Amino acid sequence: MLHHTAFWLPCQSSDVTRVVDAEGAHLAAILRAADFSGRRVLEVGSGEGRLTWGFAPLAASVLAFDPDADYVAAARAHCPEELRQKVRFEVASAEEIEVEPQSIDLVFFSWSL
Amino acid sequence: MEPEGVVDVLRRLLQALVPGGIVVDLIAVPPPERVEVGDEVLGELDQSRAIPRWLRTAAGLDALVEEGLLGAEGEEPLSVLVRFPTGRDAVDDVAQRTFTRMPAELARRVGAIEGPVAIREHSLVRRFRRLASENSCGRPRFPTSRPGAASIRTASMSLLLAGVIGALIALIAILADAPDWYDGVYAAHSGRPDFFLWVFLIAAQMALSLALLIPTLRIVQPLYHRSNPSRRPTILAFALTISAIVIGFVLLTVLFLAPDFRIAIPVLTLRILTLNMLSFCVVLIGAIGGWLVYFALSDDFVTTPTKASVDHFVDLRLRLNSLLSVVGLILGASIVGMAGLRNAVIAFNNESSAFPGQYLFIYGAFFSALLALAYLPIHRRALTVGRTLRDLLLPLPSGDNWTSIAEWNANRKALEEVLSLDLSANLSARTGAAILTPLVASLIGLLLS
Repeated sequence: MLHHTAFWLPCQSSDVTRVVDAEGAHLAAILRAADFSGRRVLEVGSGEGRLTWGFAPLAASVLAFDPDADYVAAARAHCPEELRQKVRFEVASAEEIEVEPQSIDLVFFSWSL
Repeated sequence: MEPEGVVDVLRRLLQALVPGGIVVDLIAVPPPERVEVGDEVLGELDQSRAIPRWLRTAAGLDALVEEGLLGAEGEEPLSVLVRFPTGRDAVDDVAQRTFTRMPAELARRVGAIEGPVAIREHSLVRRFRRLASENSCGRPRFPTSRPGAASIRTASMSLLLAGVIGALIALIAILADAPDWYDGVYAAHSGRPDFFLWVFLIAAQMALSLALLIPTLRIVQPLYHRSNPSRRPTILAFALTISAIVIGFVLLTVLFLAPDFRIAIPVLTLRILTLNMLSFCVVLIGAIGGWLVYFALSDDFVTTPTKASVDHFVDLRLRLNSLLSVVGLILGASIVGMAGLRNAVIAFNNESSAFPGQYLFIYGAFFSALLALAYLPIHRRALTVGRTLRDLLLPLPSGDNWTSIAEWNANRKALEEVLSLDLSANLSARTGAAILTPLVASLIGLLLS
């Protein structure tokens, strides 16, 4: 279920313009839930990176997956220059993700199960 | 993803996570989303197909908690608005979803709205932690599990073996070239009971240090793996600072307070120093563990507390108490070893001023003070976090129902006991005894002479 992760920016896949989480409540809550500082993060269901941009500056590295190639392309296109070295977006569903054992400090599932 | 496959996928993804690593899960939860215009609620979306899926997928992580792969640490419910420029945009957006629909009557009303419309959704942020290993099914092994007789025997054998190795290292380091001493002027002195008492005490100190190294590592290792990597430079700086303080103190006392200090067998000076450094390494690991507890207390209790938060807090407190006992015991043994050295030095020099008793007392007081200073901030943090947990889990009931207030008070006292917030005489005595062990050891050491 990925429908809510992808709409921080004007929606690209339809003519609808909407803004999710204008108050930043989601990001604030996940930053309260865990300290991302210095962590190697695996994000499952990254969408267009709406939440990724919020925690990536703190993290050591971010490996972000989403099954929708359009969203991943949008995330790559909008990735801030300063984050390009540490954030990697890949197209894969949760079932397809292959990551080296014990190489991640924090797994973040965003509406992705 | 089909809910049935969630557990398998999660189990596989968790392999990527280091032991002690964190899982943050952001999920949608009931009640159904509702359409709002300003303060007015226009109606609810039909999510009768979506909600069972949410519940089943949310249960995926819960299943892994039950399996013992994850420990639940907290959760925070959220209510978030999704804003649309017009009602038509909201209707079109919902129409794209697979398991959610807007009832026809509601869609007609919302579609007619030309101004901004919002849909309120409900989410839940949950935090979990990967437990130490897949073998540790159920709750964390330390300290709540009850090991079987076989594992107790194995653990006891390991401790005994480590102790014997420690004693052997000390005896070999001190006595390996003992025959050569008999050609020297110190031969007569090395045969004295004071000398053998000192050797025995040093061997006992090393036996204790090595035996306690294993449980200390078992306590500290999971704390280290769980810790936030950004905290590690601070931990390193703390370890270096403590080392510098201790080395500085030892040098200060040896070079300036006791310039005429002469050890009975001069060739042993460096060896004794090295053995004490080995003991100090165990102490340092214990001290680092204490600060890992401090940072865990600072980092791990940031969401709405649950029963798992209480379990985690109790686990941290027990680890802290164990580490404090380990550090106190080894420092105490070192001070008693030093008392043995004092006896040997006095016997060699044939005068008590060769190693004044107050030096022993200064050492004991110094290490007790250092232990208290290192422990105090951790203890204060634990009390603050524990009290916050208590207040969040058991807030004062509203209304004038005195029965419920009495029940609340009883529950609160019970929780305080579990969290060790009520510093009973027993707990205070244990903590105080650990901190005062070096000082008491120095007094016992004075009695030895």
